[in-house]
Amino acid sequence: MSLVLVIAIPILGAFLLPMLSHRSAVLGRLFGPIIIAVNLGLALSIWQHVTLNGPQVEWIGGFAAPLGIVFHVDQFTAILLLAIAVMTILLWPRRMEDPIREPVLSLVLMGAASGLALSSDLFNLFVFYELTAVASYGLVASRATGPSQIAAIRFLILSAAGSALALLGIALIYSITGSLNLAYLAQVAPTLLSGPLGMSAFMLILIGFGVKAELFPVNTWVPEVYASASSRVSAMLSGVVSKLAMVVILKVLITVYANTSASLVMLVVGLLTLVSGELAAYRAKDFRRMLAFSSIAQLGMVAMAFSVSGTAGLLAGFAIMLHHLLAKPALFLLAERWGGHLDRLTGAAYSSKTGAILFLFLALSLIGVPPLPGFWAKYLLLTALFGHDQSLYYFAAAVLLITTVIEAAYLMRILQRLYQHKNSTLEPHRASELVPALVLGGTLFLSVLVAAPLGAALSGIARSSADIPAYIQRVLPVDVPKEINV
Amino acid sequence: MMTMSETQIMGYLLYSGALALIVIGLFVIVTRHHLIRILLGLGLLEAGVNLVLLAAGFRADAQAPIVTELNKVGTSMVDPVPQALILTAIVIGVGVLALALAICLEIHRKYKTLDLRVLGMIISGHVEDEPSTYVIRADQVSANKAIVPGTAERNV
Amino acid sequence: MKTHNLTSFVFLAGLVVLLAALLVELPFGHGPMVTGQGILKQAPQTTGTANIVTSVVLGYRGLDTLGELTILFIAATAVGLVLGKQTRQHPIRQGGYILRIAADLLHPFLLLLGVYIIVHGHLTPGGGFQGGVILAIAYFLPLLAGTQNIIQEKLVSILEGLAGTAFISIGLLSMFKHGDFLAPLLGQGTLGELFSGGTLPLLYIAVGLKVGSEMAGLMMRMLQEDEPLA
Repeated sequence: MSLVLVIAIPILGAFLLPMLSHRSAVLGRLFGPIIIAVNLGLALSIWQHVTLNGPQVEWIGGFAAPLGIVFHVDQFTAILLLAIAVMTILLWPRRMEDPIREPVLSLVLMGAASGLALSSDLFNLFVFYELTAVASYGLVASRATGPSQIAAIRFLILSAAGSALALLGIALIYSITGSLNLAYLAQVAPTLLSGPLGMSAFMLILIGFGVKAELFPVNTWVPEVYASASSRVSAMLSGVVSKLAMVVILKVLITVYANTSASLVMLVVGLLTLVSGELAAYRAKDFRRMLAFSSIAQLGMVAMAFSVSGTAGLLAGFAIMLHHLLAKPALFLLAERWGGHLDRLTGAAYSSKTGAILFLFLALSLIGVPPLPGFWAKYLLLTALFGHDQSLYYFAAAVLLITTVIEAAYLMRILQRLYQHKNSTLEPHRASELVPALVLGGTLFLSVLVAAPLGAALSGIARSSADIPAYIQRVLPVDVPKEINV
Repeated sequence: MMTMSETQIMGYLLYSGALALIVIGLFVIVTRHHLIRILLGLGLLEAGVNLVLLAAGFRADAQAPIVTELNKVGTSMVDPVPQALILTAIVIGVGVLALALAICLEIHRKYKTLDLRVLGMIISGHVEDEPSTYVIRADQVSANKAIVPGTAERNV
Repeated sequence: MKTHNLTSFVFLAGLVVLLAALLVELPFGHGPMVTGQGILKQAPQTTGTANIVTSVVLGYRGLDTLGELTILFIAATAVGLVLGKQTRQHPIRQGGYILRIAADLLHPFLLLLGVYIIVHGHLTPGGGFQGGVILAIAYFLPLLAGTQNIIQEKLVSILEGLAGTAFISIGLLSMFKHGDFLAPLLGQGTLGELFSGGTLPLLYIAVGLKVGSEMAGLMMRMLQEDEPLA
């Protein structure tokens, strides 16, 4: 049972879907969800395997590392795989304009995102990143309105230029070290990659992968795209794809650039992203744009969390990631009915009571009101920042608190408008939009009830993921000498 | 001055070529407004990066990595890995370019222009966030009239 | 010179200096080549192909090739999605007399060249992607010259679907047999023979067919968007 199946099955399904749809339209409609269900089953079995037997390593094709490509799965990766499959099925569109091509793109997006989670090879990560990129360009442009095409082409140009720069960074790393395997790079990095060349390579990789991770300054595409694309596509992008891009940067950071000034760079970038995101969200007058800027801000928080090396940083980052992964898509699902100018929302709470309560819950969680999960996530981040003994980190913690106030301001403003006594012109939410949103909100709610054991479990997962020497040991067993002469 | 070996000269030439491509490509992407020109700049950028990747695999006085009667197994060969990486990178570039051109076709069909300045105003006028100086409606554009003074000139 | 251009030039000059300083430091011609050396030593025995780059593309980094193949497939699908249903059916512009005759003459030669490069990908430079593009060009020429009007869209989609499925199926087969996805199968054969390298030439044939049909279909779709000259 190979880990590659999580990637190969969706891609195989995407190849087969057009042919099957031409035979029978019904089979075509069912095929996508069937493949996602298979992936979900695979992800569950991987989770079970990893929980019982510890992190696993797989050499793709049987070629030993570092000559071939290596996949590595620990508990956090397994959670990501599950989340990807669950989000794909929850955000599966009800009514598709093109019932053949859109499912193909969505299936491949699921497979490629899983590949990003699993891979431990620098170029393999690049290939899967490009695959998610092309699938997202297609999904964004799939809505036939003019503005969405313009947003799509601007997104494409920015992302493709960023990817070229990331490839330049990878080329620099390969020129110096001769390998693309993250574990091997972790071993030689202190000697070879600590100078200006190594840092420039990191900056290039940060800019390149930062486009999808919505980091400053390459996140100008976010408000346009999220406002023009369909809500489910925006939910998938902001919920899943941005997290996976962040995970790629994390992998490079903690293996190759551990304990260097790269962490400081991450902190500064995260700070700028957070501040610019929250300020822009405050000024936003369109519901989806507000959600887009809020998404940018949350990812800035994740970047700040990952800039703290060690278990505390990873734990905070994981918590914020998982929280946002559940909350933001739910908000985008609400936006299907509520999208548009904020003035349209006046009194909408009375036409859609469940939606309003859900929004209230999610908004409070995003702000960080105890005992909601968002509070725990931000609290972990604050603890991590205060635990690091440098003045810049204390400053970052202060900025985090200030931006929380700004966040509260604009979210409360919307809530106030929702509950104003006025006849709303908006239609109530349909069941197809509310049900997935309620599932996500419900999961967040349940996490409140199991907060203590969940926290302990996450803590253990973070500790295991932060253990880089063990990771290197697993991927490159000691009995394979550094100079390969097999 | 030191005499430079052939390898060093080759290295300097290769890297200057790659550098020129990357810098010119970036310049075009950042400063130009016509979508097709920007895509050409993107192509230049990708070509430059591929060249850097190629140079990473070079080994002086080595043969191509193909085993023939002249090059038996064990002769000194260049690194085969960057060549495989470049192959993948070129194909990715082609795919992205094809999709970009298709989107440009659609944009031209709808708005009759490929000037990013005009398109940027359309998209910011569509979503009223910050009031823009011009608000261009889609029907104005499709009427094939020059709306913004200056777009009738040659697109740069 | 306008200030905007001046600032761009200054920014560029700074970039040139920075990048030049970096690139000069790189070890050209004597890189560490850790992975490369290892692969060069083992590849001929492990995979059996004379062209070591092929053994990297299809063996050691076979998963990257699967990803790359899928990117091309997704790009073609997205193009179909973006361009939407075909609204107009214009007759394709006819080229001049010489152009048409030359295109028809070159077509079979290009097909042959493409097939040769695909099939010999494991022996000489070339392979599935390169040969597939030449196969596509064999169809571009008549399309652009106007001698061939339609490539059946259904044929293209069936061919690319089947070829892609074949690639993954070979990979899955090796998974069931050896436990590793895309491990080389069917033995190595004699180095340098046409029938060597196990399943690797088969993988390249699948790649070549997929790339060729996809690119030809792409060109066909984009040509349909062309408006006739007034």
